[in-house]
Amino acid sequence: MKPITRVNDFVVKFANVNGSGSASANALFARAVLRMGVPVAARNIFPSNIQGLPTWYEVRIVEEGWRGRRGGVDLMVAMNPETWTQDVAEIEPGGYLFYDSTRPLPESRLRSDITAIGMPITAICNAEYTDARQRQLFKNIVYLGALAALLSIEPAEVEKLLAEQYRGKEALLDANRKAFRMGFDYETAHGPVGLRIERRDKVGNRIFIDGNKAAALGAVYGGATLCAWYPITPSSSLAEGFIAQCRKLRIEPGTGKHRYAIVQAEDELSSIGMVIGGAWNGARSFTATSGPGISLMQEFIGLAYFAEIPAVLFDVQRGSPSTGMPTKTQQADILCCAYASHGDTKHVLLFPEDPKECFEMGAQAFDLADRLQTPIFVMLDLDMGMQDWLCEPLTWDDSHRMDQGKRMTSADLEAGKDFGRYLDVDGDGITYRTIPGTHPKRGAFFTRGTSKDRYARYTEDGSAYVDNMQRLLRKFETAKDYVPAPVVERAARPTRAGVIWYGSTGAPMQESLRALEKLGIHLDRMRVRAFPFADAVVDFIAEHDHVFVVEQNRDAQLRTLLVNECGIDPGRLVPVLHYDGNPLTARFITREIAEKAAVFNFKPMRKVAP
Amino acid sequence: MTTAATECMIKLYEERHELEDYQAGVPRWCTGCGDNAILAAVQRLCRDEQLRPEKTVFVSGIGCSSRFPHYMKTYGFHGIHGRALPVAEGVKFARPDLHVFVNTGDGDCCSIGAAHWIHALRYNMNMTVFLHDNQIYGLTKMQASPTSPIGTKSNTTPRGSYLDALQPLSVTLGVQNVSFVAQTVDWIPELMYDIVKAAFHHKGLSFVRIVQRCPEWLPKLFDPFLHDPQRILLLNHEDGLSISPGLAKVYKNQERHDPSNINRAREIASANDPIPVGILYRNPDVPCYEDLRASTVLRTPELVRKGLENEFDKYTIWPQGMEPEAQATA
Repeated sequence: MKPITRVNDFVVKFANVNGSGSASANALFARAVLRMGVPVAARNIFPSNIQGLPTWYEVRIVEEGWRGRRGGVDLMVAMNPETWTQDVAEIEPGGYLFYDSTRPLPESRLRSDITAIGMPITAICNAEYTDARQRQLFKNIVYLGALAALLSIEPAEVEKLLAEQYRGKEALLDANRKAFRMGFDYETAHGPVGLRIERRDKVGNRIFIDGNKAAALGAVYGGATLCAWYPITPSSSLAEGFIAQCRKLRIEPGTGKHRYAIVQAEDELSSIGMVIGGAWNGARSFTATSGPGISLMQEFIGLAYFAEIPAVLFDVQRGSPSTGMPTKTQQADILCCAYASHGDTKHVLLFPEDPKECFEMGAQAFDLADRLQTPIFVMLDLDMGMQDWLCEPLTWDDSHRMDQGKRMTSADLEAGKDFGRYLDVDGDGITYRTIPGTHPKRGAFFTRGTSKDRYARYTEDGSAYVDNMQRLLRKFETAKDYVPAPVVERAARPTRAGVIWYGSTGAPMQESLRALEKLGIHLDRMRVRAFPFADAVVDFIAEHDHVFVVEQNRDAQLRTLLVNECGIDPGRLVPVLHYDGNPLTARFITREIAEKAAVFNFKPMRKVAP
Repeated sequence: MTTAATECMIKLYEERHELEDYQAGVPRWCTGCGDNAILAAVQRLCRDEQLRPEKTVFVSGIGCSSRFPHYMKTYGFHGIHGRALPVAEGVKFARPDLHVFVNTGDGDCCSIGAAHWIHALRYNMNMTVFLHDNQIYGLTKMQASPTSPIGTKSNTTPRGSYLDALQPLSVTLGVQNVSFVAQTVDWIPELMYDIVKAAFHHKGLSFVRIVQRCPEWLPKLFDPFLHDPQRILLLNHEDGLSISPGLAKVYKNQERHDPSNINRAREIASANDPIPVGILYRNPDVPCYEDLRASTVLRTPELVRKGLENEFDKYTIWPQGMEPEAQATA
């Protein structure tokens, strides 16, 4: 088998033991490649556990800048004996295996169709270090050095990164630099392999950031001042990111006063309760959670819908149902959030596609919540929330002013304006509210989950109830004008088929569309960015005979929502579903769509001679 | 094949379960985690008491400690966060003959599950509850829990936690119908076993708080207590624990405490340093909910059938003059 030779287009996977300190070395590897101007798509694959279980880090080096997983592995860095067999089996024919050869391995443990590169890492570290913890930690830096030599990564870039990481900690920096050099010099003697990284200028000013951090920053820019939450994977780092950002950005200069409040509540129920209480007072409030948390919050969400109280919920979706796969990714909370709580309820959902949109929608959600006076869900998932993605720099328009929605002012009340908390003055379904303290005599109202009339008075009168429920529907219609519009792009050739996706599915989608084009399958495309669906979504579907809906859940939840809300013939929406908990690959989407396209016989769009 | 009743009895009598019969898999807890010590003590208890694995259930919520049932070769029920107790109550209600154990953590029990905790104590159903209290959220990677000491630096509380730690024993001892409260630490295996055993033998809800170390997130929290035996207060009494001479030699700081004295128990519970270890409270006279609700009448098939028929009769439309009352008066 001829060894694979490729430049700037291959997959390196690190197999490690959780808690062995490999994470920071692996991240250094990805960042070093980025510093050489070559884009990467990197993902941690980790278990729901603290320590001791297998964990992987997959780095796709891809000059074309695709952000999805490719599938397959060209170079395996096999550092975990426990997963050896599975790791070795995963290598593509002609690929490479890098392993610790301190203990000699029998031929039978290797493969004849791959190139095995052994390096006595443990022996090297044991000879160099006496402390057990150092012996373990520096192994990671030693193999990083070795990989730099094998893949032609410029050592200066790694050393620069190390210097940045250990700024002010000279002893640590020297030790790390030395370990890196040991690995580098050892493998330099053995020469490079067929996989090479060459300097390019393809990264530009893009940044490498995870969606949770970006969303947390979005919340800061969006003006959030109250965060109430409860720890749950994979959303904890969003709340923790908000804590970190507020400590930098939300402390009043001069006085040192905190202009924010963050509470780790006793559970998710309490979290959403605090959010609703805070938002009722006009404070921009949010919670960050995952599916199980959303399940717990249901009754409160219904209250916020019916009493019309703004609230922002970041749902970082994970493998489900129930406890499911806490460290795996899915888009399976769509229906649960869209119709959260008992009774007739509908909620606004935003679907960011990457960390940049996590930031933008994370900020926008607060304007929407105040404008629409209702809960707003920002639907992240584990893949975009916890993994560092390469994306455009986050930008903010300083001229942006918060939209605080319709509020009755003290002057309005003083002037004798008619105040009905649920009185639809403007005909858009959105009513005016007052914030406690607005006026000494007027504008107070009673908030309740029971049915009420336009003046917030309790009523069980059927017509008053229907009037209110109809107005809520009108408000939901109005929401269409405020939420992010779908992004539509036409295929290179006219086609009667289309494809719809949302969220992190976008990562492999562009790559898959390119592959499909090569197969002669041309699809118009639409990325849905919010619920309620804009009219453009319905129009797009109407223009096509068949529309694929690609999503990461078993039950085709977005498709169901489309059918249900837009009255679309289900036969025209073809589900493409991936839900094993791993991020979707372009290979998967291409194969699925190509197979289904063959059945529907899309190809006649090519001109056929009569 | 049929087995004669006597033969069956002999078989049952002769059957002996070894430790391995209760062990399932290698625990995935960190090295040095207190959960390992609790598991060892509980497996030993099962063996010594010869609990039938098929009639033993471990119920847990979510968190590091809630992985406990995974490692017991008995029935296990790994439920949802904070809700181990309601599940255990349901199990006990339907099958009072099962041995029911609950493993819950400081987040699971004292934070999200606090409401169920209070009411489980009121129900006082016959089960053994272990509160694995390491005073930190481990699985979600280091957030303060309600029992974190004030000033605990965590990912949620980078400048230290703001609130005084909740004392689970004080809460427990403040609830009506509490019937058994004990405390132990993960680093004294002998005491852990004695307390686990006493808890198992108590009829009613036995609540055992285990002060345990988290080597990953709070590795040094209990070091002062480990290094200085004077900072452990052993509770002894003829109705509580009797301390072995070996243990008494190391742990000289002791108090004679009568477990029926709830007021003194509450005082002891509120102290954290030295850590009180032993049986704080025991009252065998508190009735179990499942007993209170059990029917006193023997429910024979005849009785059930008669009851059902009476119910059906209520809906029968009898021809005039044929009503049971009419017949009776005729």
